[in-house]
Amino acid sequence: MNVEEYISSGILEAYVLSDLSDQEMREVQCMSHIYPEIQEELTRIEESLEFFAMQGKMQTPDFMKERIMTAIAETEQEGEAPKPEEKTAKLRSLDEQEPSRGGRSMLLVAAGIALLLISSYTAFQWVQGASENERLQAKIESQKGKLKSQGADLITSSKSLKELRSELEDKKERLAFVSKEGTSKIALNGVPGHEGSRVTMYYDKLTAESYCEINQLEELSDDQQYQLWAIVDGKPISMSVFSIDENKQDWMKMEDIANVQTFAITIEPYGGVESPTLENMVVAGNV
Amino acid sequence: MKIEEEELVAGLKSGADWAISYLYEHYSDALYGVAYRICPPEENAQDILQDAFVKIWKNIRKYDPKKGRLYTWMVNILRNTAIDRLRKEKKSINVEIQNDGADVYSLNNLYDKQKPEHIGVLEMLDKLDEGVKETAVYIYIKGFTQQEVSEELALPLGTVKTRARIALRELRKYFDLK
Repeated sequence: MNVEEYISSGILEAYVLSDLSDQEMREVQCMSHIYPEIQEELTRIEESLEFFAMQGKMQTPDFMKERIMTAIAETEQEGEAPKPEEKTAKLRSLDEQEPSRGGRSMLLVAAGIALLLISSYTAFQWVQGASENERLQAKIESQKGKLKSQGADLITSSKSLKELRSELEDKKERLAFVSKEGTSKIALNGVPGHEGSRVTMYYDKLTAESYCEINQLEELSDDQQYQLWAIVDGKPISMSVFSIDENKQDWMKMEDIANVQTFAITIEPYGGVESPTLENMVVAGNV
Repeated sequence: MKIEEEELVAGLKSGADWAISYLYEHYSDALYGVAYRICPPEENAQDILQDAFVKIWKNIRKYDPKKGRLYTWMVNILRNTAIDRLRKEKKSINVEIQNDGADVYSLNNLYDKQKPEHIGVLEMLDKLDEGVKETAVYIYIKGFTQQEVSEELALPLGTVKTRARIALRELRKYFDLK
């Protein structure tokens, strides 16, 4: 079949508008499974139409929302409810802490707060576990009470919704990276003399991507910094030089390095050094 | 926060309030615009929007993402609802076409010239060849099927299909979509 001709015949535009007979609809569906170009073109057409409609927005009168939500509340959904999968489970539990239809912004704030409160480290610990979702859900449940009182404070605090959103985006990204298949979690434990220090690396061997999560590191004097090393084929490669201060970032994206065997952090003079000073090692962990 | 479509659909299928609320906030204005352009005046568009949202909610579990994007599925429900309504209003769609369908310039009544984004649509349409513009208005704005346009304008169906396609291609170019 000539795919180009098929695409330029206009049948795909008609398909997107459901403007075909059932048989033709099935034919296009079938073609789109066989030819990726057809699938791509379909997606482009759908996006164009969506974009087009967005250009032609008209403001819905305010009273419509209540009218429609009331009508929906009286309507049973048809078909079987899906089994709660991971994503729905998480999102639904966020939803349940929102007792009224308070509108989207309240929901966003609540979702943002929930994710911020269940702060990174603990959340990720659970995500590692097998029954991660139940635990996450249970934790969210237990945060409900706190949320209600803290919610108001947070909303009026200096943090704008926009900032909350961007933080939430970050958290979502983190969660996605640490929980995806292929990401290994490497605990960098304190070496003798630095027993209290702890750092966690998240490393995807396939893509060589890695993130560093600072769990506990002591503050250093002004002329010193921490330096993170990746040991590849027995040779140290410097990944990052950083300080711990009140604005410290506890989560950093690292340069992609393949075939890492060990991650280690040393204390070095400010600005870092070419090769690590082994006796100044703080934490280390094998991949 | 942008909720991924996949999450939104899962939320809707499980009957979550936040999901329908998000859906409304995100899509009601776009869908309302489509409803209004197919079947004005505003009172009609409001009824259509409500009926369509109820149908979307009721049938969301039948929506299969493999067959297309959520918006496409929704707008097709809305379009069918609007066209049914139009048929009832006007007895038959042909009467509607004869009444004002041929006048593509009535577009000016359907878009609000005060709104920059609406001006974009009007300008884009004006850049199209007359024949392509006419077809695009019927199909993408007034919600007619290709067959109906072919009959109304006495054009071969193939020509209508080609023009519908050119119009979308130009749209992408004009708005700099890939």
